Amino acid sequence: MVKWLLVIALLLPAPAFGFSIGSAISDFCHERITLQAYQNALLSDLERIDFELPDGKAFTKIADYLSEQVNATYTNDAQRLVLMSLFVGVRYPDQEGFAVSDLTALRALHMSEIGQEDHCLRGVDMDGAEGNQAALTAAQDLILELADESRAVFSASSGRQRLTKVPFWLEHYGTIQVEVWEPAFLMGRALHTIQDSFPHTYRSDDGARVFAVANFVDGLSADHEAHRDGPRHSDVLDQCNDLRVTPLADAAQAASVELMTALKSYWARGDRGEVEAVVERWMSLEPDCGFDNGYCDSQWATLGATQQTTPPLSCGATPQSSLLWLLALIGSRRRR
Amino acid sequence: MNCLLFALLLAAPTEAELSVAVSASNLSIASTAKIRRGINSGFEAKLEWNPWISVAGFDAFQPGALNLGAGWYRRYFMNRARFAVSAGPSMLLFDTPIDSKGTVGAFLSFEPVLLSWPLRRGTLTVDPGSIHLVMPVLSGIPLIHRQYRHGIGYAYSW
Repeated sequence: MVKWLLVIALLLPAPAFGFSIGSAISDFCHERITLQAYQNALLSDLERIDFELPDGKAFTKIADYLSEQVNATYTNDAQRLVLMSLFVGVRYPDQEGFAVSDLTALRALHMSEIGQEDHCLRGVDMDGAEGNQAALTAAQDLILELADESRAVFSASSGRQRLTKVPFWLEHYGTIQVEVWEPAFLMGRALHTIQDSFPHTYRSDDGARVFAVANFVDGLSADHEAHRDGPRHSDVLDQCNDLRVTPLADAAQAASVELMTALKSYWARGDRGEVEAVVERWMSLEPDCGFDNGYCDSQWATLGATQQTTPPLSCGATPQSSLLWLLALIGSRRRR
Repeated sequence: MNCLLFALLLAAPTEAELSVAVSASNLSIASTAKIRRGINSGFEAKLEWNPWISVAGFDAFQPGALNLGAGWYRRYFMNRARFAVSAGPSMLLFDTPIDSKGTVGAFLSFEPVLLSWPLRRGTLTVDPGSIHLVMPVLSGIPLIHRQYRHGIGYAYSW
């Protein structure tokens, strides 16, 4: 049985949409980056907030369950609540309350023509060199909107009484409603976007400047043209535990620490300037290093091109991605 | 009620069956032992081990639940098919993130068509599709597995 499960796990890796969220078949990339950022940026300040905690023991059990997966520790319930809220938030754009094995739901979420900015990807109408800037602007705007929203809910009661229920998929139970601390949940969603901006763009070798933004939806079309649609989404850049990708994951962590620190400052002082500066620093386009200039020989363009997400059953498709998307397509047809 | 029915069946069963089934909806397996009393219709009792599998969560294989069911069956289509319903307790056999091993809830089973093929000794049974609700946790956040099973078994009558 275990052998069969391993075979299944090898054949069906989690869909590669930015750094992965954790499951039996995918690495805890978003969670690990978020945990490290939390330890660097947020941990020491939590003692000052008099939190209202969720009722019941389900909260502590779910928080402990998530934290165990990445060896996170905490010393009190306030830290436990914030960390759980961050984890639920950073997973939310990839899952929205359903299982990572629910291929039909995943396909609907990730193939949608709207919402690509959650993952810092091009929308279908973002063509040419201008499409890079349009995609970055959409992702930047989303982060700033989430920053505003988190500031608003935080300031409503100095962060204390801001519990809200969000859908969360839990193994064997299905989609349940969990209570989270809303400012941290929204922070987690913003972190997801800035973290995804690293595997979903071709950048300078130090990871600081963006040369081009990838395209997931058009990349799955046989009609895809890199000069018009942008580079295809890359499977290999998503693998945060791949040693070749480590510098990119480290840059994502540095950006996460800065964004978390800036958001915390925004909540406390009401000045969004620091958040805007972080977004500007990590998500700005270098216009002279696009497709026409060979992405200025970026090592990430070279690495990303080695394993792109291609149309199912195409010559360039990997067996894993073909099978995955074939199953997803079959699943979606059966439900019509 | 369950205990009374089990005692009656254990005292004088007229048929016993062993079967295995899989549920594709949530990747679970059921290995079931059944005993029956009656010719064309009657009572049946079942004890089943129902391990759960997942490729999406953090643990691929879990012991799942132990289900105990008692109910009624009726044969039809010249004894080549059988209809059965049963209910009883369901016990969680592992610690989940929010519930403890040993928690007891309920189990419901609806088997509209169980096909039978007589063999030289005994009977081959095929379950083309049946519905089972395994609910080992009913309080707090309920743990409910809806299972659509397909199975095969062997029955022996005397």
